[in-house]
Amino acid sequence: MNRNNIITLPNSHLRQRSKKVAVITPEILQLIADMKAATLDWEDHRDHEVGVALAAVQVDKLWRIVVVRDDFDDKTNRDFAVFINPTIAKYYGKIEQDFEGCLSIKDVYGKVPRYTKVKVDAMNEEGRNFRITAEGFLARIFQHEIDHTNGVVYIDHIKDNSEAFYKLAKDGKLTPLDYEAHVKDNKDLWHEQQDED
Amino acid sequence: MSNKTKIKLVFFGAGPVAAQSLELLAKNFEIEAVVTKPKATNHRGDVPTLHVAQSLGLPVYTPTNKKELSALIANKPFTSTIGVVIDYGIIIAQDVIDYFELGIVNSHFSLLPQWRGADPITFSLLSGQTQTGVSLMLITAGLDEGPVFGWGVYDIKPTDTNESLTEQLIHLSDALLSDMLPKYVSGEFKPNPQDIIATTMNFSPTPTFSRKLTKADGHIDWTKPAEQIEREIRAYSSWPKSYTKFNDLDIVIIAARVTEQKGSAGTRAVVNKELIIYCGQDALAIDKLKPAGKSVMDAASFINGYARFI
Repeated sequence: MNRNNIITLPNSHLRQRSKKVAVITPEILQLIADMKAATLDWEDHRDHEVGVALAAVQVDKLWRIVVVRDDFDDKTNRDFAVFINPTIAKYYGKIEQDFEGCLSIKDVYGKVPRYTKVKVDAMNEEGRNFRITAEGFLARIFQHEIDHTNGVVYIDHIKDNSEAFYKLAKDGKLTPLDYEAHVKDNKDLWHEQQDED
Repeated sequence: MSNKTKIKLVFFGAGPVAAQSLELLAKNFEIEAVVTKPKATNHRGDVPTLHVAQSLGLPVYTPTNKKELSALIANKPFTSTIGVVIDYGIIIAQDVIDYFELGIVNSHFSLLPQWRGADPITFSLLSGQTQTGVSLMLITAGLDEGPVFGWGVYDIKPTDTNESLTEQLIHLSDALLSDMLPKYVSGEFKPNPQDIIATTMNFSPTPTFSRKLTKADGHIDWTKPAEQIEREIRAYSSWPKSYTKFNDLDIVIIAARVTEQKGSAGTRAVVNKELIIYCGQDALAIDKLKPAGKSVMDAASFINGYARFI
């Protein structure tokens, strides 16, 4: 797989819940390898960004699998950690706003409120369950990726905040996006709500 | 999830300005390591940057002098291509500068070539100038002579003290580094000789020099013009402070205003319930002062309690 396998909004699969992995099959292990390859290929074609993590739904496979870069500040470290069926067992710390972007939402960044510390339960590639506590930016990554497994993208958290949206310019700078013109009624970003009578 | 790439750098700094700058920089840059000073063993002095680096969980190195710093770098411990130095206090040798492909950037708290040297903030307050700023300079072997690739301007308020100006410039420095360092790294901003700032900002390109203050600088010479003494009070507010004696009582002047009154320099009077001290030219109306062993008080309280010293 490569960067072209990564789906982006308005693909409606990004708003769907993924399935739990019951058995780790060779297909699942291949999918994990593909997710890593797609993330790195994406990063290699982006000038000012790091691909820090990916959920399986982003390569259009609706499994609850997340891969996270071992060192998301160092592009030369191309290793990942794997989290299968990850769930957040506990939120702590305080809520802080910081920038995050998404490989499935091109050139948009948002200031998203997240907990500064979370406890995550998951399974590794050998099928063993484990629990880790993440702080700071890693805590943010887990909240972002586990949202993906539940069909939630980060912009859903800041939908009504006219000051939270930014655009990544060619020179790598973030500039505020005009909310009224480019965000509020942008059909690509927002899942069409079916009115139920 | 994606994130903007952060520039990786090594931070050199020791004092309180460095500590606060490091805290701000860590939000926008990846700090590979912090090079600071060791905590002195037989001394109560503190290394604020050490605390900040440790609380951020950053690797810390503490060479004690120029030689040890060069020895540290000779081991090639870092992969960063750039260093940032703020409020460090150890001379950085050429081999250390050369180790970083893009050099070492100093955030200097003046508009260079004004106030090169150790204490630009104090000297910009003493001079009575209305503008100062922060310059981003690539350090060279000379004293603050390196080329600059960015600067920011701050309008000095008539009430600015050393503390308030320092605080403002720390934030200006952080904003400049966050904005301009990536542009220097990408090659968009090129370093220029320092006189580009003077030419653009329309001040003299002749360098001026600041120096480290001594305790004696704080001793008020009442034969100076009141305007100058008032600047000293604000410039020396953090250290050494502006002090004098009323008879045998040691006094630190905390805040004062210039008033056009004439009298013999150094003599004191209470005029319209104000405490006036006559200077070489005009006089100072004292607003706040601190008698030895007491806390800071306004002039009215002092007049009530210490009339016999006036």
